[in-house]
Amino acid sequence: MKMAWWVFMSLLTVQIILIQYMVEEYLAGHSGDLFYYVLALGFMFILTIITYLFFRRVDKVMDP
Amino acid sequence: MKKIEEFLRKLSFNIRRDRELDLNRRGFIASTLSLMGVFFVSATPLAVLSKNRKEEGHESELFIVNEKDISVGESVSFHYPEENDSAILVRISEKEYRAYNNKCTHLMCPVYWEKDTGKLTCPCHNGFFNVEDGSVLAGPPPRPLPSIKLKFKNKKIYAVGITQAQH
Repeated sequence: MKMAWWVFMSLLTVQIILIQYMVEEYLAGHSGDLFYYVLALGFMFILTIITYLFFRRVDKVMDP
Repeated sequence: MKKIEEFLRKLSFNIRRDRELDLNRRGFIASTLSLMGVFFVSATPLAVLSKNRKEEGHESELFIVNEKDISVGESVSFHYPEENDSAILVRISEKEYRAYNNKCTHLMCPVYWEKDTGKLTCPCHNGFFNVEDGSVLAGPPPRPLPSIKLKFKNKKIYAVGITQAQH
């Protein structure tokens, strides 16, 4: 689970950076790009769920 | 006496070993997962807002110039969509015209049409824009020029819309 910790921290970092960029784009009025940021965030979320499930499984195998 | 002592102990040693593992690493990762979900869900209203904003647009139609009054390679200045938004119309060939808001995207100096080099030039900091699509060729401007949609009716040129109007 230690590895999962680091993986999750990096995924969280990417999401925070995406959110920050998205807010900046919104405030600058470049509304055309916002949709792609939402897509990117959704992709990251799905990636995170998959990673979480993977590590849960690893966890079960390692200490039953 | 014993009760008082116990009470004081409770007050001073407020670290409860048995409760320490309420939020361990696994629990924290699970809550991180839900936080990411919240990020994603909270980002969707922004996208919806952006869609609505796009639809607003500028629908006004403005007469710029007669086709015969502008020869190939020449430019005409006008104001669109508001009185304070200066714009430039360039005739780049017999049938092709381009119009842009001529506020430089760097520091809003007026961009002018340089006929000899065939570029839109910002004299303040040597910014150059492509006349075909308004994209930045060189210099400090971070974004292309907002382009103005044109309409031709009875040999007259009208401005009917603007894309990427906000800086």
